[in-house]
Amino acid sequence: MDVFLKSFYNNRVAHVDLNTSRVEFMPVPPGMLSEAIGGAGVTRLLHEHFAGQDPIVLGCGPLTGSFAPASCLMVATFSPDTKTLIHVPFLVNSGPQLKFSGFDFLVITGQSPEPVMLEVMNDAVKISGAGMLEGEISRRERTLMSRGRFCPEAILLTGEAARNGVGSAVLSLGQWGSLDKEGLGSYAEKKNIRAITLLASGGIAFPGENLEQGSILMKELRARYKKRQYVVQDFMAGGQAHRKLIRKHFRKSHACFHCPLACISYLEFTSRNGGKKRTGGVFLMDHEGFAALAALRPLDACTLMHACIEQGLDPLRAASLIGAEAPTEDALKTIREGLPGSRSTGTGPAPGSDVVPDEVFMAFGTGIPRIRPQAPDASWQSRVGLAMILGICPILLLTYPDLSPDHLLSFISPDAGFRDDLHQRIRSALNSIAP
Amino acid sequence: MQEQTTQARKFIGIEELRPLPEKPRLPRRPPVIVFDPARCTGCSTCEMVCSQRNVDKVAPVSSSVKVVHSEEQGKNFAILCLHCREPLCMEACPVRAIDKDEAGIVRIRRVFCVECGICTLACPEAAPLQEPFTGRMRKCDLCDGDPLCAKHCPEDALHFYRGKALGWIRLLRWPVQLVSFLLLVVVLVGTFCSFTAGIVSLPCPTGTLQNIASTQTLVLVTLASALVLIGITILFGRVFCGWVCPFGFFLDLVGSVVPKFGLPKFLKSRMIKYGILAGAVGGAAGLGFQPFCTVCPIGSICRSYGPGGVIKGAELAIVPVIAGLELGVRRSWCRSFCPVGAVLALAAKIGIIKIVIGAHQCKKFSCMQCADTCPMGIIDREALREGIAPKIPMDECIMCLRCVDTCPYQSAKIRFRWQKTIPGEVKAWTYS
Amino acid sequence: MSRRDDIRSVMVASRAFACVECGRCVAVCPMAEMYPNFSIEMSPRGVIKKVLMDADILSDEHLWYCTECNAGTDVCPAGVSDRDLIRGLRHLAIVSGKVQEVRTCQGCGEQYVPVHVMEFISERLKEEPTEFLNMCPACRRKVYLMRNA
Repeated sequence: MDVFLKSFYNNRVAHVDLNTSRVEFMPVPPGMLSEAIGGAGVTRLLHEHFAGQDPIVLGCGPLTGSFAPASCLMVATFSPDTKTLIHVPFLVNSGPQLKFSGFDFLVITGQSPEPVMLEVMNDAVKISGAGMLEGEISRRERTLMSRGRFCPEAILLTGEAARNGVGSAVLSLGQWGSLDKEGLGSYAEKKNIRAITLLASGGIAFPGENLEQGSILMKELRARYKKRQYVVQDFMAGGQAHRKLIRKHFRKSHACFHCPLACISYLEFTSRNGGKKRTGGVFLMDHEGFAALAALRPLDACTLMHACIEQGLDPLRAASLIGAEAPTEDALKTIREGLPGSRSTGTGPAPGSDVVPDEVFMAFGTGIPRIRPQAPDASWQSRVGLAMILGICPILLLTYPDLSPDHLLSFISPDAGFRDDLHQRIRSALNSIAP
Repeated sequence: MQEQTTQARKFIGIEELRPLPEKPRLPRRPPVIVFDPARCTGCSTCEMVCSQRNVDKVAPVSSSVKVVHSEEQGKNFAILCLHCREPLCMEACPVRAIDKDEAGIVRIRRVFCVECGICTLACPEAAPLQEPFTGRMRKCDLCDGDPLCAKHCPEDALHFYRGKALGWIRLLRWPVQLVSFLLLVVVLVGTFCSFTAGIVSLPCPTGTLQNIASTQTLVLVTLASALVLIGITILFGRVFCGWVCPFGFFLDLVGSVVPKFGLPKFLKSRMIKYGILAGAVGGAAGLGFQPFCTVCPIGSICRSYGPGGVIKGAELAIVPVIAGLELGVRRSWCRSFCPVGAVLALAAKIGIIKIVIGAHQCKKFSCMQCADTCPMGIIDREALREGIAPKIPMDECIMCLRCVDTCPYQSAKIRFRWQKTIPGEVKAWTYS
Repeated sequence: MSRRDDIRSVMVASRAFACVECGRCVAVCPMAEMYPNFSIEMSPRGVIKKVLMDADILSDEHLWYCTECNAGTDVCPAGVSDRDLIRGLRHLAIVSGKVQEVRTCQGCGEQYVPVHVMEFISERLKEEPTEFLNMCPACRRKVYLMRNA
């Protein structure tokens, strides 16, 4: 089993020790892959392996980057208070970029004396100074992108909010925003990490016969939903205020790596800030955050969402603190200058907490929308857990309830008996990552 | 020693080993992948399947197509080889490893390629992709005519297409030009200057202007009838110049046989014709007769054929001189000198239609057939090379529709002036 | 770390010490076709020799002709990577401020190609306009995206 699963991986783990600025490479410890398959399962085991050194573990699943639909997931596992373990999903192209850069898992331990940037590319991790990274996230992203031949494809950044000491600062994927609601940004800031850049330099030979199968499945899934900008938001528990906003500002659908759903909408909006008109755009990857902002302040939700992403702040948290009445300028000021308080937890029962219990929700970074389970036998946590282990986007599994685990496992093996075995192992791994 | 090396190079240089091939006959239907940015969601499936074909792995860096994202504007674009008509990479390659086969596919011959990356630097779009670390070159070869990326694109943003020109407009235009030539020159004698049929009288607008200036009287009927041609021009552009003008037809015929040597710079300005028009009108006011009309090539070609089959040689004296200008560029008379065209140009400037080139299926620098075929030379090659949709000055356009006719991808279109059709003009762009 | 150590680490990474001076890289070098003044100093073997002899390679003009192609690397019997050696040396030269021989991208400011290589390209394309040549490939793609998407 271990040997078989290794063909879906590079079988390399990079251990970055920020205390000593050393990078070590090692194979995935034996037995880990067969025990937990990959993704959140293995990052949990690696987190235990490096326990006591405050690790952040980035990792991907066996299907990340493969022909399976939406194979885009990277998962970051950390423990903000040494008791709970949080798995934060990262989408867009972060998963494939990490995997094809030569590492399946990246363990960051210790604390750096000065701000650093980790550059993962070409089978190596470089620790370099982050002196040139300043200003808002779009600006830092542009600085990192303007490096000609070696410009990174996926960039994880902390924003000004983390610098301001806000507890719920996110580690955001550039201007795409983040699904992190549990303060991974603040945690990274404690370690003095300003950015992690990923650039793929190689590849993995997945079973080529799955190409056709994946393509057929992609087109089938693609044809299911016509108005894709509303799909996730309509399935979500909670209000409908966002719908009008999306209809008004929608420009384009964007997709993560190899995703048929394309649920990321790009909204274009005009904001008046102090009499000055400016046009901006914002990516809606964080559906939960936008729904909260839209329900609270339908008039300037886009502007605030944009400000939150630029500052690297969790919009859910911002929504809970700004209030519905404050004028836009004040709200923006609150976002810019930092919010008092710590993590977003404990802001009262969120809409949809009856669907997904809070403690389960938080285990997965809480950014995944609380979509009501469409199939009676599949619970929210089992769908999300499966996605986080295999390296598939959890939003896809939630919006296509009839996409069975067997569908996905057939991208690993065509043998039904083997798939059953895999399924057993995934189920036990699921129990360990979702309470 | 130095001499010896130069001697040696004379014998075994790349020019002798693999000379640049003769310009091959262009395929009638050039194959290309048409990309629609409005549909693309940036999912990178194309990169994935392409790398699977290239290196039997999923490895986005090894693919021959690259999806570029713009985080600032939420746009995606797939950079892929457009298989140029006259590939710059082929010219620039120092080891002549790139060639274009009969089907129109530009390929890198792997046995010769040294992966120096010069083709990337010579391409306006930088479409030949170089892997950043290993330096391997990857360039689209259209999967030998059945591109995987187009087959597997979940959004149908990429689709394989063999270009096809419309081709029927020229079959319409030449007969129309011939018939109007015969009508104006042979059948209706002496008539472009003032076409009279019964009570209807349609005089030439430039002639009318001179007439008014010389006689100092304004005959409303004449003016109104002169306005008919102006009205047609406002509605349909300078169709007179492209489809009716007998002298224009003559120039088209001459221009299609004589070689071109280019015009001297002082004759290139398109403002000269307005000068001639002003001079003609002013001269008419001073002299009391219509000075330009006596030498007007359109008029003389119309008047040259007298009743009974007599050709008046004296009238035709001016014609060879102007036809000689065709040795410069095509329709050089119409571009720079014709005052009749000048009046119509002023009307076309406020006309209601426009020609639009550069829709999303336009292949820009790789094709430029519209710029080659335009007799007035108003399609901006520079803009096409830089990947910008060229702006067509309608006052200079003679509505011959050659561009619409020859575009293999149907991206030259006739639209109303107020219609929005192409992506907004972006002048310059840098990282701020 | 001193400049010499930097050069040493580049040499180790590219295995320049293993050079057996067979001259195969010179035989396949495309620079012979590109520059009429091609000489042994310019060739990969000449550069390796200079590095091994501890000459001041970073300020040497002959470092700035190479196209960083794979020809020499692919044929080397000793596994020397000329590409990585020259890439590393150029990077060091740029870091130490010897950049006059490199074209700078108008878009991002990256020093993306040596002037000599660019001159060769402009000469080959002499009938064509050369505005787009002032940008690095990554910026060209971005500009193309902005204009066409």
